[in-house]
Amino acid sequence: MSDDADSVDEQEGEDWLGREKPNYKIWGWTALLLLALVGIWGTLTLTNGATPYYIAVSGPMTGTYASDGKAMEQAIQLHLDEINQQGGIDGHPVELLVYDDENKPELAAQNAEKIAKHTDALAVIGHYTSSASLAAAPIYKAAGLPAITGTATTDSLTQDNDWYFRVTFNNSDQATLMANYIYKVMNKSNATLISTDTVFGSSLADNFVRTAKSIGLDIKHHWTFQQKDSESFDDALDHLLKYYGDSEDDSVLFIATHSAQAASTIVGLRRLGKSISAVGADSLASTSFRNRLAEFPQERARPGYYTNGVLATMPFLPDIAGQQAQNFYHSFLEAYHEAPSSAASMYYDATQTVVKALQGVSSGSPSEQRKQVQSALWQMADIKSSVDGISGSIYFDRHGDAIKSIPIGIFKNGKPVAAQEQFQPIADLSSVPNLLQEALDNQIIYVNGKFMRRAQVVYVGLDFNQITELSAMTSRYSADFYLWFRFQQDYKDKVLEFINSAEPLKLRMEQVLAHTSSIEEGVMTRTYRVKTPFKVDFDFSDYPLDKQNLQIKFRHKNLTRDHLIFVVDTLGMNLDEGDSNALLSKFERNKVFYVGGWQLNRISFFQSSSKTDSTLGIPELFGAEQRIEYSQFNAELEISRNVLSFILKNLLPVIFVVMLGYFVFYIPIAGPGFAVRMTLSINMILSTSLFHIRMASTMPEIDYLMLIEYIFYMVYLLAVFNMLVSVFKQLKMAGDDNDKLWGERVNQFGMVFYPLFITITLLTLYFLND
Amino acid sequence: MRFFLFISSLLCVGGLSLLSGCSEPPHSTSSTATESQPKPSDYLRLPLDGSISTLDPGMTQFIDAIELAEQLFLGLTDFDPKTYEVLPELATHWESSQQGSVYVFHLRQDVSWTDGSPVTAHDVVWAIRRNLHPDTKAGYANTLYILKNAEPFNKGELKDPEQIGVKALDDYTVEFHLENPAGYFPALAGLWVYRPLPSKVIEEYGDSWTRPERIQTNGSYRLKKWVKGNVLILEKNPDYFEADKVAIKEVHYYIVQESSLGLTLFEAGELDVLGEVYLRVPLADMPRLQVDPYLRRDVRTAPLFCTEIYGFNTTLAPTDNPLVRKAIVAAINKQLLLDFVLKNGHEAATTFTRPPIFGAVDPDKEIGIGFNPKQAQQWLTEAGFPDGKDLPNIVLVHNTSETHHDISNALRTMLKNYVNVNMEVRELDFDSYVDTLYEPKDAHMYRMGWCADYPDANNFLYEGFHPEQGANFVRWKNQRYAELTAKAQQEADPKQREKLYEMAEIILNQEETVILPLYFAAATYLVKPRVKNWYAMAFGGQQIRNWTLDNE
Repeated sequence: MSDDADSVDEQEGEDWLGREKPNYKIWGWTALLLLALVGIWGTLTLTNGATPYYIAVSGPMTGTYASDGKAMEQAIQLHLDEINQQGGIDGHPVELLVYDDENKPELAAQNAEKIAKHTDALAVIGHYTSSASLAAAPIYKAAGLPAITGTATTDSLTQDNDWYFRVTFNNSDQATLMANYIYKVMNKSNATLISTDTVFGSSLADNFVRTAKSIGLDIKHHWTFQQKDSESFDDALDHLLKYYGDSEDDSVLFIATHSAQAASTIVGLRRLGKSISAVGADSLASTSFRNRLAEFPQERARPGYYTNGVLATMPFLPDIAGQQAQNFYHSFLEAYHEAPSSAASMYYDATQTVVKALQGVSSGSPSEQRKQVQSALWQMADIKSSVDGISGSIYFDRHGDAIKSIPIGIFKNGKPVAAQEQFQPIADLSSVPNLLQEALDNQIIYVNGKFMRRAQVVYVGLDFNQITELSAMTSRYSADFYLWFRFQQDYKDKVLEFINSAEPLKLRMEQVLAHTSSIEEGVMTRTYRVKTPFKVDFDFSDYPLDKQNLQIKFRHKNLTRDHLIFVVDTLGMNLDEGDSNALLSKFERNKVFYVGGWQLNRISFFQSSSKTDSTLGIPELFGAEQRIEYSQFNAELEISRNVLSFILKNLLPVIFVVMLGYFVFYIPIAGPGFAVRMTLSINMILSTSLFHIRMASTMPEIDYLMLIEYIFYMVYLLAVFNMLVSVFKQLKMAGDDNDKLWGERVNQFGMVFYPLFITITLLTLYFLND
Repeated sequence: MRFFLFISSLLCVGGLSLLSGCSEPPHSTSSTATESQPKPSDYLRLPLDGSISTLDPGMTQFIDAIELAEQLFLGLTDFDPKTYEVLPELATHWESSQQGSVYVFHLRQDVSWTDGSPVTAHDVVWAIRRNLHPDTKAGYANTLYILKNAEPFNKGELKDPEQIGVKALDDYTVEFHLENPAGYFPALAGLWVYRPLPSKVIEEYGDSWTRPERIQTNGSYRLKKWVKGNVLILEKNPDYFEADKVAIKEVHYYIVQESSLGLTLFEAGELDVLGEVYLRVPLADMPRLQVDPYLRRDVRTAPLFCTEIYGFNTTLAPTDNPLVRKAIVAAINKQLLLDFVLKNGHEAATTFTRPPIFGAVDPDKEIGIGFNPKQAQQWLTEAGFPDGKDLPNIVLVHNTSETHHDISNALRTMLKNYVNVNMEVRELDFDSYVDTLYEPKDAHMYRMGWCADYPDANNFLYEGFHPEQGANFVRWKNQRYAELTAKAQQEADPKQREKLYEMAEIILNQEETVILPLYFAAATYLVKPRVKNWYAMAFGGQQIRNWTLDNE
């Protein structure tokens, strides 16, 4: 038996060296408590413990038009998920209530009753069709529930109803525009039309006929049919085809029908083998239209077999849309593994609009909150208060209709692309010296209160040859690429301003090709080669996990957007919407991206607007700025650092230092142990700061913290912590047994705290960075 | 143990908070701006431009007086606000005889003056005789000339007022004898100069009978208070025969000198309606109003009974040739003019009488010549001027005004553009312009706006263009047109009258094309949402008795 200090027998609570064993219970509870607190803190931060906001959607979730309903729901949910990931609206998560109306008015009305009276929905998104929306509209009005549609186009929906809003154009606008387009752009003085008897078809037809009469477009024939009677449609179509088949008339056909009948009409027309131009409304933009055409093997085998050359108003055109649209496209593709349709884009915008209206809603009863949402929507009355939608700025006129341009698409190879001429709203009428003369010259038209100018569309294509010399220090990179412009009328393509050119005065465009198309009349292509450095707007806040964008941006120097629009030449660049990796593969194959330490994630091309709001010193505009807008072409390469290689080359020593720092807690304090611990801790600071300074020397001067600096500061804090624990223990060693026990416990605490602090810090940085 | 746990939690949570940055508490910045408005009143607040000219309906000439006459005094007849069909008001019904040259009106027996005395047929007769008296100098006396001997009496050629074609058959029956049959007479009978007057009060007090302490009225409202130059207050007349239907209890008319001030007051919530008689909405502010989130929804458009036209000089070559006139009319894109030049709510016109005035043609019937440049070129060719070649310059005259200047230049541009016709535009001061109308000399076209004195096509088609009896500034001599309009004037059957007027419009606008109708005028109003059932009468005063206020 032994009872002295040299005994090697273990006592309870002591290890074989006689030191107090670590109290694993302390470790365990400490860890659990920390994790619980982090969890609670995270949840509270994200949701603030607030009640959810409800938004309802009603659309054709089943039935013939289920694909459209699915597009609605997917787009809405996508945006709500984005919002919820960011913490909701003012801390309130947003939930979607989904209702199926199959596009049937009676079901739409039933859903409206349910939503209005039996839910706390603060807004309704939908309905899909005009007839369904009209059935629901009086119910929303009576209940004081704001509703917003992305696809219902009948004018009467928003007139005399302060509770219904629309983010797309209405029938009178699109019919007026197409009548003008036929007469003034296509230079046709005669037209025919086929229309259905639904609200959609009849309002389109009425407005088309009225406009035609007022501008001098002669309507030769008007065939009508009853939507519910398929024989009626067959009959009308037979008459139409007989008319065109038997005569030499080449009047343009305006199609004021829903998608299914539009598809049948176009197919029948094409089978005549004659060159008859067909023009339609937004029903040709729907998924249902393309699905219907896909039933024909000729269209499947050769996309565009029936539809090539058909023009239609399109709520959304990807090649004319901006960066937000590109981001939406990629997010949608990632979430649902299919490209978004036009309807999906519009409902995404509708959701953005509702979300903005929900911001700042104060607590109260649902009816009070609904009124606030309505009021907020009415506040979106001009550009400044608009929502930046993917289809353009969204704000409303006195009826609740969005004031925006109406893209005109032309089908090519089965897909709609921007037509060669568009009509763009004129922001500042005072900039037009002779409005009437321009109208007489067919350059400006009037569409229900909006003056619109005929804008030339120039298709822009860009093929990179090489990207090199990326420098963080000088914030620039070099690009070598081919740039082409395809256009129909005369276009001064060298009057460009490359916005982020690093050497604008030295920039030269060397023409390599000028080609006149033999397929498309009057279409010319000019191609240039450009080799020049560009500026990069680096953002190092996430360094070394940062992503950067290498951009090429240019606009026309003189022509504003109502004169000229740049459009991405998706066909010319073979940009297949279903395969975003094709371009990346091409870059890899051709070794285009030649910058070490970086990888290329994404390549995108999009059109945007370069905007300025100004009075330009015009007294009449004082107090009401006008928007000056240029169409801007953008090519963007998203790159990210090769993190593993960065860590291995730059951070590994720091990792070793941190690991070594942990061993401080295992060094006995007695004897030289204290000095060793302190030295190790100081070395943590010194070696880390060396890497810190070295890294800073390779960066340009920035006034914000980078992600990696948080790591460095964490290391500094750990080193200081180590020193504090060591000093505390050292001091306690001089005391009595109780003091020594405290010293030991603090040391044990350090053993737990050190790795946990690292873990929590890294996790926090990761989630905040995500 | 507790200490360990506490210290651990504190350090970690504190550290995490430091690293992530405390998330800011959600701030509720309200995006729902609210108007800062005074507490809504329970009376209607309207502006009037300038001082009130008179409250005497017999002396009424200007729109402010017309407005007040409508509230204070009943007419024999009234107008349906949608169709402008003539309706009974003080009269319950009427009948005509002797092919429409004699009318007997039967009056309500439950109408009284504010002193309680009954309104009788004698008051009507007295009023007409008094208004026609040469000493009275009533501005609208000429609208009484339809009555037998009214004009000579008014001009002092006849001394005995009993000779005027109006008499009371009994206390509640008035008989009118007309100079000639007039199917439109019931419409005239609603005018202010036909309204009964309180004879005893006027005989006692003369011109000062309209002072608040003396005036006697019989309409839907009565005078409560009048602070001259400041405000005139009307209150609902409890003795009005349909008082239970009058919802607005009080109407306050404020004297506001400038439209811009009126707009400021409207925006501040101090006024309920702006526009036309209630101060014109300043045109310069329209672009701002159309985008203001609150005000744009207050904007309303309503018809005015005016038609803007250009007349042709049918006695001067080349506008003496109907084909040339037709070509000019067909080459004018009126909608383009309205959209690009005038930019307001007027409606393109192809006929003369402004719908929905009785006898006007429904625009859907497409009578008249619309924009058709191809047809225009064809007519010009048929007239011997292919592509405008050798056609002399067309001289167009208008009175000084920025609007007319813009319109004329637009016409010139369009004629050149569509048919290669050259036009010379002359802008004249008002007197010279009027002289031109009477003696056009070398003017081929002249601006001619026409507004209704009373809502009947007779006022437009007969009084405007009858070759002998009308103003006839176009100098034409179409006998068929003369017969049609004269017959329509005397016809008692409304359906027949409509047919006759339609035929007249066809001759005026389509066959002979002696005018170029441009647009039917409309007025812009601003109306607060609390004013319910609002509508604007295109003619006469506003029917406030049918409006309501809802302050919720």
